[in-house]
Amino acid sequence: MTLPSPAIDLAEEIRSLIQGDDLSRATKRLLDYTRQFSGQRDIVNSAIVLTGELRSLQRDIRKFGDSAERRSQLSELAHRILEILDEVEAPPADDPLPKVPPEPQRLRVVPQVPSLPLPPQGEPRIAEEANRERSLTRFEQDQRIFAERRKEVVLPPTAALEARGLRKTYKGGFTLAAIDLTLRPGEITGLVGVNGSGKTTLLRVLAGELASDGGDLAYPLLCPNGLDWVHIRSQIAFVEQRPPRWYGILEENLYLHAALHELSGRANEDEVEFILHRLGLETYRKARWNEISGGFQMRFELAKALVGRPKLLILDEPLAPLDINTQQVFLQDLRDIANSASNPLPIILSSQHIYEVEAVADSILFLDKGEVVFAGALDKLYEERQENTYELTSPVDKTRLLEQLDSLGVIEIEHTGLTYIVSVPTEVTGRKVLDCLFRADIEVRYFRDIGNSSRKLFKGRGE
Amino acid sequence: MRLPLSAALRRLDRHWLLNHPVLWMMRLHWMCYFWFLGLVLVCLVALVLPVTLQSVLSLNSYFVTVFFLAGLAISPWIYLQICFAPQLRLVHQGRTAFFLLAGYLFVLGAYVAWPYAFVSILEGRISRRISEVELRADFHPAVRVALFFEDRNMAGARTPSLELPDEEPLGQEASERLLALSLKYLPANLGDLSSGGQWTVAITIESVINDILRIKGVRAFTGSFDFRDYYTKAWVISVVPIGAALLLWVFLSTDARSLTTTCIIGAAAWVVLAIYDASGFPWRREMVVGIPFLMFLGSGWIVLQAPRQRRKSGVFGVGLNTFTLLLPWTPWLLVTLADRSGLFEDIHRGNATFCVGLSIGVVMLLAFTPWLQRNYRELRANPV
Repeated sequence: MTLPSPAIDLAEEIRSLIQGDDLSRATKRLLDYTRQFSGQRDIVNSAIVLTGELRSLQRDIRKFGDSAERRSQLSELAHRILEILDEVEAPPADDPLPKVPPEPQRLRVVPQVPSLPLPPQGEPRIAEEANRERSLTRFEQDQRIFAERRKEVVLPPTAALEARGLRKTYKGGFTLAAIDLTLRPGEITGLVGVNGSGKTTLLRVLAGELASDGGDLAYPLLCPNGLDWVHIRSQIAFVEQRPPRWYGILEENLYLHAALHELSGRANEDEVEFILHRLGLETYRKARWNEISGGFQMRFELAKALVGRPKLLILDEPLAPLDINTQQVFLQDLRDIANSASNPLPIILSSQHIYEVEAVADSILFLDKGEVVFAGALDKLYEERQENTYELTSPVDKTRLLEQLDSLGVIEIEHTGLTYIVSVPTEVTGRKVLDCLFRADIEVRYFRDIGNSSRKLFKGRGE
Repeated sequence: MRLPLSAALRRLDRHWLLNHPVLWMMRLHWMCYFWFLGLVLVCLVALVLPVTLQSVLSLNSYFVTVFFLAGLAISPWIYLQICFAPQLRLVHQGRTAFFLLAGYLFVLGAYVAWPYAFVSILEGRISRRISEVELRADFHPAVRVALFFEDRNMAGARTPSLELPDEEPLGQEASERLLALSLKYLPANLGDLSSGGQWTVAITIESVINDILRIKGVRAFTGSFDFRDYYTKAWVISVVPIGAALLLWVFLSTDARSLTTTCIIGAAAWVVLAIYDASGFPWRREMVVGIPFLMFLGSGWIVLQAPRQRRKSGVFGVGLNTFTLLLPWTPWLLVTLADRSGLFEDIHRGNATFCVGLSIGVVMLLAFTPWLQRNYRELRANPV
């Protein structure tokens, strides 16, 4: 039985992550869960401590290798995650519902994680055990409890930002023409396009740094009554492509930023502690700006943006300094932030890493020479396609490729330097293309269906 | 590098960081701590430095040196404020702006007090080296000797500022007295009694005695004293911190570009007025004082246009900066401009007017701070 509550969904996600041995992400989501649904400082702090311990343990494993003791510690951490979930789900002391009999030993009887990573088969898994026990003993009560305690998360109907026919012209001749855009809480908008297409200009106009030369720009959620820029800009976090240098110790900057946004005392400490652990930055909290890489600088910028509790997050090329692994983590964090049940955030980010952005974005805005080429969900791009498009890498030349694919009615093959963009009629699937190439003994090193990707929009644009 | 701060200061640091970010950013606690350490050091040096009567000749150099060192000591703090300024620009409210400006005035004022304390201790020690009776006894001969050599060498170019008994020309006696006074009041290398240098030596002795009399607080001869050096120091320790605090605050509220433009315009106006003042054209005083006042009024008019601004305007920014930078000086400018009788041209009244006017100006500035900050915030927030 699927429970509709975001809280229950998130709890299930965490259990599923534990099942899938992804304790790192499980602790991150646990932080989100405790923060959004527990409302208790102690429980959030327990999650923070647990996250710190896991990171420390993972460092030890990387440094000294795996061992039975460390596996046991990992298992213990997994237990504690489940305990925290239980604690949040448990009814409050004054809850009129009948008390669930205490089950102090319930989780302790679960066998330890036998290896790292957890084996796919073997002894009963921790989460499965816990879930089964819950389903047997507390499921019905949990349902009732959550029905009462659940904060139904309704995304605000009001858009955070609405732009209609937004224009900006530079003296040099570049014009950003008639942009229509709506940013809603909980949605991520990816802004893509070739270099010089106006992405940064658009973001700066949206962030209130540049004035538009025409069109309407409104921030209904931030400032319903007109454009009070002081009020609006204090609620927008704009992370620039090249973040300005921070001075002093990094965590002090975060405390300062939080304090300047009227978070004081313990609330300030809690917020910074949460963000540091949530974004995996606690190791570098005592470092200085020059001592961390460009990737971590960007992540700290995001941390600073978030401790200010913005209502609109604008990121200009945030993925540029990040390695491939960190990009995934960063984007996943953005997705989680946008999805927050208690504070869903509208996010717009520009990037050249289109596949990564497309993986988390709800909609894409593709710009070329200041004009909108495509705006909307990627599904729409796929539905409206006139042809199927594939990207592939092969050592053969274009002529050979064309010869082989001619039988499929190939429409066009574009060589972009490293890859080929192959356009074929909509009835030609990727499998057919690959079959055709394999039959001709053509080596294919890389193949991707970009029919529902904005990648195909780059065809014939730019340099 | 870890700063040698006590545990209590570190706790205070943490408390301010979490609860009072503006105080933390100003590092008021560190600055008070280091100011106190520096003051103790300065006082100790002033107490152990060997002094003689002739040390009065070096007091200005001491003042400048310690002033320079105080400037060096405070420069990292100024740098820190500049670094943190962007974080505050869009966030802080009027009350915060007031505390920032008051804090800047306090810190900068405290640090320029080092040279004042240093020189005051030295002056006290010098004054104790000679009795007032002995000083008074030397004063008349010193003045008479100076006048004698002045008459002889300068053909009466200098008008005596003090009525002295009409006595016979000193002749040989003057040289002997000059030698005796030189040994007492001048360092050995200044005791050149050749005919070309006798007048200089005599004047120097007179100046030394005057300074010692001033240090001792002897009022009987005030009429003949040259207080310019004294008031230069007073001017430095009042104007420099106020000016620096203002520049820092304006930078924090606006941006480097706007402030630089304002400073260039201000410097250009200064040069033009200085040239006009030196040129001997009529209405000099009215021009020199009136033009800055007109600039103040003009910039005030620009500031009043603020509610109509929807975009970041360079003119408005420069106007606001000019208004803020000129505000504390306006009471003094106004009084000087209104002084048709030339009453305040007298150095003592002039200095008193300056000090009172400046104090009123600073109070006005602090009172205006929230309003100014509101305008600055709108200026900063508006898109370009």
